[in-house]
Amino acid sequence: MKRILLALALCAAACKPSGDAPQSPKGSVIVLGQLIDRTGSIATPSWAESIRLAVAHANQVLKQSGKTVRFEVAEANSGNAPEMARAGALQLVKQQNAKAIITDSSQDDIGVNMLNYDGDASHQLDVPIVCMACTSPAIDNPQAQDADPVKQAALRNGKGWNFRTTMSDAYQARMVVHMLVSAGQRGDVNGDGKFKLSIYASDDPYGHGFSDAIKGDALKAHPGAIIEQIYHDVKANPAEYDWAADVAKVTDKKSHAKADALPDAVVEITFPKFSVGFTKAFLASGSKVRLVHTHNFRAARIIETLKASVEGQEGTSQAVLGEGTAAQAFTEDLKASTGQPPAFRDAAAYDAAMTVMLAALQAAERRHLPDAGLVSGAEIRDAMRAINDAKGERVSAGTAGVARALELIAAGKPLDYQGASGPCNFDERGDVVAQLARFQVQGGKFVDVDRFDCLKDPSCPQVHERAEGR
Amino acid sequence: MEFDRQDLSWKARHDRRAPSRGAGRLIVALAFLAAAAVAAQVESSPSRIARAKVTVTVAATPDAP
Repeated sequence: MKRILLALALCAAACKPSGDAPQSPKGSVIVLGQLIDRTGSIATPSWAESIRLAVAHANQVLKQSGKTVRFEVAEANSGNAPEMARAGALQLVKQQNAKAIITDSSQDDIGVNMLNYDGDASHQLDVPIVCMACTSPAIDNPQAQDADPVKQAALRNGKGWNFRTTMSDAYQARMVVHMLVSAGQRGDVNGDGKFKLSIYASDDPYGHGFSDAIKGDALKAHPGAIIEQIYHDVKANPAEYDWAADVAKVTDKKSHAKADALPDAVVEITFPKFSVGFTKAFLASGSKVRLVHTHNFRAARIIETLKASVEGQEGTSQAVLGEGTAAQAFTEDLKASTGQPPAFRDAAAYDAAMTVMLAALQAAERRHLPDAGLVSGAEIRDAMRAINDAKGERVSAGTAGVARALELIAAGKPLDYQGASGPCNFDERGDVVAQLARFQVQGGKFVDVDRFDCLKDPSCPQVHERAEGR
Repeated sequence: MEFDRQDLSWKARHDRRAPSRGAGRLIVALAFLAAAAVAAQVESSPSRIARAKVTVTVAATPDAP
């Protein structure tokens, strides 16, 4: 009964038809700009639902505590296309008065953040950008290099606008390499005396960044390794693309037409829409080479499309959830709200919204603003780390945790937000660290078969307890 | 395999090619001690106008019960 009531409450809060003005008696509104893919290659409806849940949680607590400020979501479709994402960001900030942008992929995040560095004053967003599905190791990297000075500046994040609630692929790359080189004779599983790894990736910042990180780590782990990198056009029509031809390239005894050796493994790095085509062609080819997927394979559409054919397929990803009360509260409320358990990146989407909202409230309180709705993007940015004070009281995701967070903020006491996806401790770059997982498709579901804790140690040691299937 | 904390990567143990006897072993030991002592101290420019059509919908999230 309690769950049903909670579901009704959340629906009333989050599912009201768009176009209505927020009901904040004599109060103000802080707008969050949701700039995620609704129609493109990574569109995942549950991400938006998770953001709505976070906003519903915050507004519920604000009402109960007698505060008059409320949060509101203004939405634009990124399309997982940088040009579209940039146009959406400008509309959200300049026309909808969004005080923060929550976006998705690496290319969208980079494209949007470039607006802050292109020298055009009318493009300057001046609001924090929090991406929840951008994993390129080049993002938030002070040493990032790029031929385009604007892009390089955005990658280096010198103005500090960029944050992410998902881990850099640098961690996952190390884990993939360790897993592959630990198999057979230092990675040589086909017994030809060589370790050859073929990496198939999307031709975009995410694909290149992740592929290059794996290559670099593989050469450190096995200096004599043969690494082949093949990329596909991210603007290709997946229904018409010749996936079989690319499968043939990554599984043959050549690297870029030069004869060498049969690969011991193929690592696939692309978006779900493309992963469907590549995986289908790979399985149809009958190749015996080990195929290792990465995090974007972990999408509902993969199993919905490929069904039983992907049973047993394996891959690596960030863990779907963090640990403890925060993950539990998020899971229960999302299930109550949508009827579905959390999907991959749902927790990161929730945390992106929640960290921004807590930072906004924290900034308004610390600056003694008469109206929290007057908080600026810069003030929110500057407070993003203040909600993760290691000396502060730990507060979890979910209404109980948010209620306690508001009490602490009002009392001027430090707090340490524990997110649904992990601790969400933004480092000096704007990055977070969480847990990784090795997953497998079992019984038509993605199941974590091993977890690796990068919070305890940068080597991401395995967590020695069998992870629950999710 | 062992994790190299200097460059955050996994490396094969035998790739370190540590001398196994005599002066080589002493040199490695001294190098190790020195390292331990040190450790103890220690996309295209967006200037053009965006062309994509964007639909912005305001999804209100008013007072929750």
